[in-house]
Amino acid sequence: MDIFLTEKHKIVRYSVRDFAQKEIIPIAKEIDEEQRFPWEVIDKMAALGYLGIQVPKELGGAGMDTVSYTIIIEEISKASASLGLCASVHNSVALYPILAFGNKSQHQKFVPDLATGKKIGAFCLTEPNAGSDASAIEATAIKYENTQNFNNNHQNDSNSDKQDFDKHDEYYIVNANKVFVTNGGVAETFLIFVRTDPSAGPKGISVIIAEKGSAGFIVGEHENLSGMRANPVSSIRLSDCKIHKSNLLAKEGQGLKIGLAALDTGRIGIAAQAVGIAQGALEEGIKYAKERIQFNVPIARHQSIQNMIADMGTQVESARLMVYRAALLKDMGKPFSKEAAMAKLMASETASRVADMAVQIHGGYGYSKSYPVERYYRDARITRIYEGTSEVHRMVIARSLLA
Amino acid sequence: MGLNIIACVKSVINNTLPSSNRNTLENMELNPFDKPAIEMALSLIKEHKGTLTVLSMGPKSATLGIHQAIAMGADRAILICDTALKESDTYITAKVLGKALKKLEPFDIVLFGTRTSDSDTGHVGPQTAQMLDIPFIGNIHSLTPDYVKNIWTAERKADGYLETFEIVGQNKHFPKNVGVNNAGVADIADTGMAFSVSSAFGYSAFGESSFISLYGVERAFSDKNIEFWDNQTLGLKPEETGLIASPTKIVAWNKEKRAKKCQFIDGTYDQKAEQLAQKLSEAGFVG
Repeated sequence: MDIFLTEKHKIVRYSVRDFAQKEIIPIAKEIDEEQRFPWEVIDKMAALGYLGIQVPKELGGAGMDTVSYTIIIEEISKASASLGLCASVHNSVALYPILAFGNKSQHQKFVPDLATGKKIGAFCLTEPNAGSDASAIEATAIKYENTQNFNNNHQNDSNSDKQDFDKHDEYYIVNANKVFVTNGGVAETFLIFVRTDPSAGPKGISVIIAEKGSAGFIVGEHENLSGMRANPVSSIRLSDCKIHKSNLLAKEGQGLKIGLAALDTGRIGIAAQAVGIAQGALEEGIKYAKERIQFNVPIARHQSIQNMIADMGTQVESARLMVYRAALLKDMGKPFSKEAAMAKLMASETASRVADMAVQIHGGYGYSKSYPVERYYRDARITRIYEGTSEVHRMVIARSLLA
Repeated sequence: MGLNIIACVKSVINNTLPSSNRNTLENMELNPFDKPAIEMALSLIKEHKGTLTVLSMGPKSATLGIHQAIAMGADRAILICDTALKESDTYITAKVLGKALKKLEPFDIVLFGTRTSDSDTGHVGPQTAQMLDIPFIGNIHSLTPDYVKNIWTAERKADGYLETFEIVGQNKHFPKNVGVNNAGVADIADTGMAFSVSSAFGYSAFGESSFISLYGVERAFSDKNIEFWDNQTLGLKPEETGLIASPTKIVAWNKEKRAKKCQFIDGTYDQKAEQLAQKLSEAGFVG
């Protein structure tokens, strides 16, 4: 029994599952093999509200809670982890920081387009030399006053006074080399972590919202990854890219704070995604174990297969409960950082183990692309790495337990 | 203003969930065969304006399916829920729905699914129409009102033919209370008319809009409440409903054992295909 779920949550699950079965499962294999981002399905997901799950209704979102969010990410990921990843990153680490730390005009400018899926969002923290150690980023944003251009552009504008002049005409010159940017190839709104004060160490990190199409904004090739292949994970380079000061999120120096808050939320999404992958692998394992005959009986009758199925089911259930708990705590406005880290660690390790066992149940066929478990196996692996490796999560959890 | 459409729906056990044979608040869903009825109602309302009321009879756990119907776009939902209704057969179900529909008069049309995914009788639609003495056409996939001629046109596919029916409309749009039929099905009606809607309408006709959106779910739980009716609301005595009043009773319910039989078909690809088609046709699966 789903003790955490209300009737509303169940209907959310029913409706997303219905959509995933009819619209995502039929293409899941093809988009993985072809490395294709299926805009036709993304547009439908947007129309159903999946790209603005927790965004308030007045900003174009569905206004749902975090538990609903985990259900939606789980169900989409069960069908295609690549699309679950797109939705998770878009909703959590791209949209959430703008909602939580952005000002009113930033809400109006960026949120409705993201919430309705007109634009896809991305989060750019990782660099070639900064992964788990996020404070080691090298990207810079140097403030620059463009008085010259302003005068040229606005010399006839008699209404603007001197103060507006300064405020409106400050820019950052951003140089950044970001890698493994989820949604990178299709996103139009990017949160870029930069150093605004290179001498201030971790306290000099800030977040700037960059938009595709700006001069000096370069999107790299779609990475040829082992899993999550339908997601256009790319590198992003900003080369002397001029970005208006109004695109600074919160204040200068608050980047790490924003990043940690975003990742706390993001962890719940990635954990939900891992549960979806694990659930999918479990279901495929059960189905195959009932069909496959060896020694004259379905292999599900063999105790060694039963043991695997029992372990898989138990682990998936544990992970899901931990995800719900973290989500529920967040919805109740309580601290959830440790619980989200535990849920992400548990769920991602579970997804890897369960997908591995599902392949084992399938035997040689499980190693073939003819069966979906092969894809689950590849997709599961990254959940232990991105949005914080399992090792970093253990660090976070231990710090909290030993405090 | 506009059309007053009623869709009679049922919450059933979601049989894709493992080991579910008893209804609980965990495993109910809207009968998938009722979805085309709701979708047809919504498409009629989209074109001609009006309201959709979903009407259902079932236990408390049935709210799960009813909320789904509201999330799809229904304007009002009524659940007839009474312990005295337990184990009613299709005749009693039709009687209860008929009483409720009388209370909801005047309506233009009442739509049903063709069957349910659980008991699978397909009786309740036609029986309810009989209770109300209104015309009924089953398994339609298209329905169009003509306000000028006061005629509804319904289409259905049967036995390789496309049948087209005309029924004279009633109520506010069609003040003349005279019914005619051209196929021996429709009869003179006091109010409205009833149809069951084929699965041929729906997914293909509606595309992605037939999926429940998160906005729809929000709406179902914020502005719309399910109205609960019981036997008293409908003026029914406990002994008039439920198992005791039902003329048909299920006396045994045993799980069917399916034997797998494997047959090999020889010959060229063409011969194999022909033989396969013939075997399927003989078994009544195609044709």
